[in-house]
Amino acid sequence: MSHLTDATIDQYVKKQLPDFERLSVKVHTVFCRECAKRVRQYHEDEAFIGAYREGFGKMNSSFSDIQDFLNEKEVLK
Amino acid sequence: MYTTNSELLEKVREGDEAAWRLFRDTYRPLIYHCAKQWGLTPDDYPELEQIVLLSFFRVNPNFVYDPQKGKFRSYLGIIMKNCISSIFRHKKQRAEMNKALENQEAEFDDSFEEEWNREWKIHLFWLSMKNAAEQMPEKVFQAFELLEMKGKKAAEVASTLGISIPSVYNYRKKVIDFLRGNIAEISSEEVE
Repeated sequence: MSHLTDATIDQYVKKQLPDFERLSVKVHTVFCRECAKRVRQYHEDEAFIGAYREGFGKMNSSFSDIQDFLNEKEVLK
Repeated sequence: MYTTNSELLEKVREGDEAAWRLFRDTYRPLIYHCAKQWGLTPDDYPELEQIVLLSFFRVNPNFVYDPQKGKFRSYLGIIMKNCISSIFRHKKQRAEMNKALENQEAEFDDSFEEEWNREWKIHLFWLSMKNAAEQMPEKVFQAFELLEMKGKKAAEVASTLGISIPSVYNYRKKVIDFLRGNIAEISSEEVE
């Protein structure tokens, strides 16, 4: 039995796999402890990053909008 | 390199210009972002930044931040709240407040603490991302950033950076482990 690739686990956790492939990952993890563990770990990592992703994007975009505004103001002076 | 807030503030107090710049650059995104979140206009942001940073020393030029007396997050939060309130008050006096801003001010008072704690967590993540970008090999950080923060597919990241797909995931894991450790390290400084 070959193990799941990182790319498959990534797409599975991010819900980007078609239904049939999603099901086959679920079935595989029932029989393969190692892959089940990797999928769990990937879920934990995704939860960690996911908690920050949106806020980080907003903070970065606020900051760059404001920097642009201030730079423009500086040029106009 | 990460410097604790107490060390950094001490250097700023001694007039170290590099420390002042580091202090300003570290907190500028948080201050600007909070200003935007709470409805101040872009014209207010530089004023807010200035009064927040100067507030550390304005009341007492010999101010020394003592971590034993409280978390830096709470300390900066109190300063932010007072400074934003002060800008709202000035706007009122200058009769620039419209109804929408009045509502914004009321909401600000009610929700400040919860929002501040949330923004502070994002600030810690932002700092750790900055540390990762500075301390990790460029491709390692870029692979993580493209895959996880910019939503690119692994194959696209691999082709952009000229690395294999397994390397993309390997680098991603390295950065996540770094961020976890770094955030824990920075957070622990708060209760030192």
